[in-house]
Amino acid sequence: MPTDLSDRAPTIELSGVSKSYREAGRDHIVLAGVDLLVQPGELVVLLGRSGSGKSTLLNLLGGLDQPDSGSVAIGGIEITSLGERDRTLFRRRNIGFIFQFFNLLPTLTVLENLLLPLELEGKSTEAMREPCLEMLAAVGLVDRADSFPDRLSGGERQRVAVARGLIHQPQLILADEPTGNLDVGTGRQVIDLLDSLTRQSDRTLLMATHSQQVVGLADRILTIENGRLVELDKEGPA
Amino acid sequence: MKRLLWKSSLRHLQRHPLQLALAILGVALGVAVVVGIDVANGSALRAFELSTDTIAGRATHQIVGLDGVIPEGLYRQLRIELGLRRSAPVVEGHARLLIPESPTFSVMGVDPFAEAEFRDFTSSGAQGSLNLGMFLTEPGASLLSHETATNLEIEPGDEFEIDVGGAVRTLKLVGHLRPSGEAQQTAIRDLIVVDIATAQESLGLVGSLTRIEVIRPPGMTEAELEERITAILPATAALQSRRARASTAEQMTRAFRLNLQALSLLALLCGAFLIYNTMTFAVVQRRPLLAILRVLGTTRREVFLLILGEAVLIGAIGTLLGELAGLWLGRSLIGRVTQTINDLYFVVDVREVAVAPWTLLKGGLLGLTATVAAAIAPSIEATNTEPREALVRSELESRIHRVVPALSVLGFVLLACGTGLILLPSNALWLAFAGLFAVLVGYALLTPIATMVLMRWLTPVAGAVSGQLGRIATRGVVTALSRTGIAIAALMMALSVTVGVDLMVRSFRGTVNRWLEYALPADLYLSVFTAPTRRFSPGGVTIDPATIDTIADLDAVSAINLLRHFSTVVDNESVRAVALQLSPESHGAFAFRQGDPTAIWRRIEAGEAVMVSESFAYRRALEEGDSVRILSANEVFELPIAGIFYDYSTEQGLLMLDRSLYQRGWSDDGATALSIHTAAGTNLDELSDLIRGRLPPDLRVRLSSNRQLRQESMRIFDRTFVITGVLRTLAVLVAFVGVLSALLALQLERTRELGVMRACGLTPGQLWMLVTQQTGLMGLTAGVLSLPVGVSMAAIMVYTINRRSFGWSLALDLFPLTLVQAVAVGVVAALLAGLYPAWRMARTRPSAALREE
Repeated sequence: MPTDLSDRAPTIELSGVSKSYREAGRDHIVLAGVDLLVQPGELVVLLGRSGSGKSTLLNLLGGLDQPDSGSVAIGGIEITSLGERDRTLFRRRNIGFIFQFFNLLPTLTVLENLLLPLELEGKSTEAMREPCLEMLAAVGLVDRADSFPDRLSGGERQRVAVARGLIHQPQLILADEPTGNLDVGTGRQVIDLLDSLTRQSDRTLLMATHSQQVVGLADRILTIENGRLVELDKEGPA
Repeated sequence: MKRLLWKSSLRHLQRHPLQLALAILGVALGVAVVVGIDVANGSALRAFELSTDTIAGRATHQIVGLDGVIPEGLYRQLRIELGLRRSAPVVEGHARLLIPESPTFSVMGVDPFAEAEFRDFTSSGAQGSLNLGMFLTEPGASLLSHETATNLEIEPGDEFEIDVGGAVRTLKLVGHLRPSGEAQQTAIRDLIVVDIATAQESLGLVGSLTRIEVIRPPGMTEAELEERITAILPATAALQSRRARASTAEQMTRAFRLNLQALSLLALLCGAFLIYNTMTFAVVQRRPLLAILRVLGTTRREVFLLILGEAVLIGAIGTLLGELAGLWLGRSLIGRVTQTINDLYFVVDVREVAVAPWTLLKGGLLGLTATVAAAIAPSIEATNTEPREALVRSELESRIHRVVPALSVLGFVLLACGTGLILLPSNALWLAFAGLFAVLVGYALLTPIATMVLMRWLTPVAGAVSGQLGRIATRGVVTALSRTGIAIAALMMALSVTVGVDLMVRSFRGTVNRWLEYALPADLYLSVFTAPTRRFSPGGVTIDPATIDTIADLDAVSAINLLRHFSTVVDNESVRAVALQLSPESHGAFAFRQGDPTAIWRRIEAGEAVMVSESFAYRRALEEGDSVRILSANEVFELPIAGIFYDYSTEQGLLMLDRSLYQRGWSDDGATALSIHTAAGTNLDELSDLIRGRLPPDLRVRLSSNRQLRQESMRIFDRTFVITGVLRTLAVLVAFVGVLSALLALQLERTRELGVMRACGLTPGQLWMLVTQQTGLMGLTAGVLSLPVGVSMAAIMVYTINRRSFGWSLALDLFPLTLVQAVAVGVVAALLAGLYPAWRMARTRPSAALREE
């Protein structure tokens, strides 16, 4: 099963994706026949109120969940047709995740948190040490390489999470409210960092957020209304 | 496995040292109990084997008497008629030196001319120091090992006295036995070698041998040898290969050892629950962490192997420590096991701890298998959860609540299967144990639903007592069911083991006590001084009729009953028998399973029938009216069983016949025991003195009052069950460790939730109350649930396992105190286990608790 992306295919291609959850005996439709095309290198912002389906969409794109119907293709590979193991291997190689609550591994040091995705890909941790330190330098935390996450501030933790999300050079980075747990200033720093690092390496970034700060950086702005994706005018009010 | 995954895993364990230590302790305790019991049992058997093997020397076969003796003439027949020159006669018995605390010695009578082929240490060859002339001519000439003689300060030429089954004999040391190795040195430590004639005379076996040893001649096949020897054997003798001899001890003690092993497995089962508990917590606590790993691309297989790897690590360390603790435990238990074997089966003196490699291997396999088996379910749970679900705690609890009905159905199915296995019309003990284990696991699976129901009932009560805090406590048990359920099940299981074993022992004790009430109607009991297990051995002294008459003539004696213990051959099997001459007022000492006692006694006293004990009938599938074929010395009796009586003195079973029949068949007038009824107002001490005065001076007897004998019997009973008590205590210890581990994990996991409560205004004292209320409720639930499980377990042990092991009918007595104790132990154990987490939580600053990730 191929798990490497095609450079020419759109990074994201959703076709008729629907997803609903059963709550209190009733079906709650979160996504209803969503279509989407995102080209390589685009920075897409996903706006929407809580519970509108932003995280569900990100989970589907990351292969963490399966749609009820429709297909999800990343870099030309239809991940909805992959088995559980292949989806995991696909995710391991091609997708970087950044979460609101950082989700760093508390039992690994900052450097080891970065090394883990590389080791999972089968790369030598010794050989990858230098690139990891470079990445930490890029996020301004090289001096905290041997610290454990619980010794870091919230902003520092999120910067490590950004570094971890990018270290294995995924084609697609999915960020779920990456500034939701940070103050405005720190949030701004993290967004700038994400923006510069993804654009430098020509990666695609899809970010779910409430933050208006991000809107100015986005190539495209999407929102979910009544289970459908709506593209907003970049110049207009979000 | 990826290095960083391992590192992360190990650091997690390092960060929870107390939980890790408790998990290791749980495995170690479980393994220690199994290894300990095995070492104790194995050492006793090994000691027996070693002594029989060394003493049997190079013999390939032996001829033994089913009633304990074989006629001397058989030896001549073997050598002359069959030409089996490599054969040796042996007369063997047991004796004690007339010194306090003397060990039991084997007295072995040999023919020194036949010995060279068989044993080095008894021959006059290069190894031996036997002075043949003195050995054959000196009266009472004997040999001891150099070590023993030195310890006893007996020099060559010294005389020393021994007590053989109540008779005192004098021997003279004429030389030393010289062992050729350490094994032999150990085996001959408690051996006295004498000339065959001296042994016959000392042991009361003139004209008889206890066995003939044979070495198969070269060129003769085993089958040929067996065919030739069997052709000349009388019906009361049998040919045994060396292997068969070794398995005799194993067969005799099989039920006893199996019961101990099953109890130790129960402790391991508790240990397995503890491991399951620990591993489930390890997974539950780390669900978000495992989810992150899954999000980052760790496959299910990798997560599965990670969790399993941790279990193997915990299992390996726990098993290793358990093996070491088991060796120590085994060493401590040897005395108790040996005492029981000596009380109930055969004489053995264990000096060395024998550790068979298989014992350690078994302990290791059990520890690791139990750990891995217990970790498989949590590992699967960890891998099967979608990463999205794993990041949400409430998802897990919803899933658990959804599977509760399925678990309950499975629990009922296991209960039904277990009950079915127990009720199967079979005598197989393993089926009963398999049924018992299925029932226990079935009950454990019903714990979550029972907990939910109990908590629902208790919520209004807790609310009325403690308001919102009370409701939070009860509801908290249900909302965290994935963790509380397992902890409660583990504690419930251990408590039910204590309830079950306690009720079984008390019921057993109650039955024996009631039996002794009617089985000992006389006022005084006199028996020749011998160990209970040797009472049925051939030879030995008896009380002669003249002495009996002089006792009967005493004014204070109103009636006297005669008993003669002996071994005989019934339906080609060696059995223990007693010849009786009872006064009518002693008939009440026997309660028959069915039939009219008067009619039964009439037939027995007329010599028309015999009676057998319940275990005798059970082992041979005999019923009232069935016939038995008894080979006596003079004739063959084919007699019906008139009655089957209750008896708890021996699991081998007893056959009883009238003394007149015994005299006819064996031409023996002696008695081995007397029970004496006295006239009203008799002073028993004065009467005892009078009786002692009428006994021959060299006859050693035990003279006990009814009360003393009953006390002695109960003392032996209690001694037998001391080891059960030790195992029960260990099971409770395992459970306590389990509950401590579970509650610790549970409360530490709730740090954030409790931090929120503190932030909302809960004082440290109230928090303490909340935590202890919840742990107390869990203990109460486990205690209450353990009652039906423990009673079921006791019923299975009393009605099925004991019956199949020993053939005894016991009555199940429900002791309210045992039941109350179980609930109290549950609550106290849980409260104690909750103290540390409560203390820790109450001391944690709310801000720190809220920051906890």
